[in-house]
Amino acid sequence: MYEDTLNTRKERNIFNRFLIYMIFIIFAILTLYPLIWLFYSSFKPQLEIIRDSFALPQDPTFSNYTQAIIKGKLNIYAINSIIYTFVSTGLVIIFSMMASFAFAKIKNRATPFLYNSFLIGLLITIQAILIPLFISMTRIGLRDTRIGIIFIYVAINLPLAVYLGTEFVKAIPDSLIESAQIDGASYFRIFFKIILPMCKPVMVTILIFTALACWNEFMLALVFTSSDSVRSLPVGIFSFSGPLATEYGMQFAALVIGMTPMILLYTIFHRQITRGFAAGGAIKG
Amino acid sequence: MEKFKRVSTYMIFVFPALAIYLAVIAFPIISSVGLSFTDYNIYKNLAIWTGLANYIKIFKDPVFWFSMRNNFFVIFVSVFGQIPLGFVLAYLIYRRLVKRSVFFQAMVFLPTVISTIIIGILWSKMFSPIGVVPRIIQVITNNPDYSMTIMTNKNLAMIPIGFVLLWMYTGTYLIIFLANLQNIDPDIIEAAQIDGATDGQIFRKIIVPQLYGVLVLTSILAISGSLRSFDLIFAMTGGGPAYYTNLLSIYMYNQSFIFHNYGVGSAVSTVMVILSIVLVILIRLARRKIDIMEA
Repeated sequence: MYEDTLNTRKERNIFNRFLIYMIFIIFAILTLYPLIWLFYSSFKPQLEIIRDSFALPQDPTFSNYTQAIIKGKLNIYAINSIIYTFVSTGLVIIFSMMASFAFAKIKNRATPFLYNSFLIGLLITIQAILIPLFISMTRIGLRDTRIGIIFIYVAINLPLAVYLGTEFVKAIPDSLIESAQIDGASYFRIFFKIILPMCKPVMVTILIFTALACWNEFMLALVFTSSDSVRSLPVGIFSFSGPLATEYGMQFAALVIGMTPMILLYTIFHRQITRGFAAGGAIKG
Repeated sequence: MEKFKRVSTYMIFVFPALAIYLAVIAFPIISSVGLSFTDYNIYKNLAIWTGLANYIKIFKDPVFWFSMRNNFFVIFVSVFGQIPLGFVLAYLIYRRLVKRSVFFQAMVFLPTVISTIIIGILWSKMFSPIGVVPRIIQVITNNPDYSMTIMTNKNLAMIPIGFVLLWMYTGTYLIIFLANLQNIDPDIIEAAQIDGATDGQIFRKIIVPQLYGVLVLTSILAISGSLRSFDLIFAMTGGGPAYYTNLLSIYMYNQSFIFHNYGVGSAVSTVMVILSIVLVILIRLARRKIDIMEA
């Protein structure tokens, strides 16, 4: 009798295990298969794509990629995306760390008000600023310029960066700063020699979030750019991948080019990215 | 002198971030609400006060209500799909019920780092006649003439979108929940096990109550994220067929940047902001009610 229940319990356990593995394996297949399918399809000539979507390429070709670059101007878009991502991320890190230091360690009555107004920015829907920004950017001539895009990207990524930075700097003991001040160090010296070196972890988190956000951003780039020379990769890819477009191979190649940098980044930095999302993802979502 | 130095340093440090933030976010938000009561002409830079006309116009527009319905569908998938699924997967990993959990975690999370627009295009191709989903159905049903019409069906087109939403965002919640589960003191669980608590009891009486705060926070995130979502559906269907998969954000985009009705667009965005504030307040109230019931 006792043996019996033990056996059924064991069987149930094995069954549960099996079920749990099935769930995770299904998730893994659902993630990997579309990416693999996209990858090998990007080497198929147009005719093979239409004839059989399953099949591996019979006659693999690079022409989809050369097409995407020559006809699709993907190289221009990619360079723009690289500029936007690097410059915006750099500026966000510098500006947010400066503000974080002031908010956390320099006493001022304005701090609660200013800091809270940054926090409100975390909950703001981008759509709420889209139209007035479009109007004012058009009027001052910053629409459809690289500077305009960078300007907007810096602004929308600042709230999260200022929040993460300030909370991090707050945790640095005051005594460190006080003893430096007694030794005659200025605020600038303290910032560069003490605060910044200690803030490396939070700067990595900010870097990951901002870089991902800038590289992947679509709606603002769509609204604020109209000429090919300033378009970013997502807008460029979208522009020739609409529902009616039929050059499938070229689109597949473009999608592969667009997603590869982020997948590489993730495989290299998956530890930091996971940690960053655990800390900051709770806010950003 | 000392004080002057401190204040001026403070200003130097805060200025760059504050100036950009005010120019791009704070100021436009205020003027957006103002614009929603006007008829604005961008070529003449002229705004004519029209009172509530824009609001009346959108409330009478069936497309607006379709968009609203779809937005609630997206919220529903996030709150009752992504969050529970992410929670369960995180719990299974936390209790070490799977080996190779780092790999599986990465598999669930990977879509998060890929551009939403790319995911949208990729999945629209997967569901299209040149994609594999119709082919798989052809093979399973043994009907080589099967053609997939779900993406062009006005009643069903939201279903594949819901699936892709789950595919994309579950990983984010998995990571958040896992990080918070790992913060729970293992001694509590051990003590409960010694007292003879079953796995189910531990889950219901210890794990879930510890994570109430995170559940509320993620729900707020899911709601505000769902309200502003744009990229995925814009890339997958562009709001079509016709307007049956429109979201408020796509409706607003079309009104503003296709039809150049900037006042109407501003009214839609104001509605979106109010909606998100109301939903966030509702969630907080629900949380308080749970707290009272628990106490």
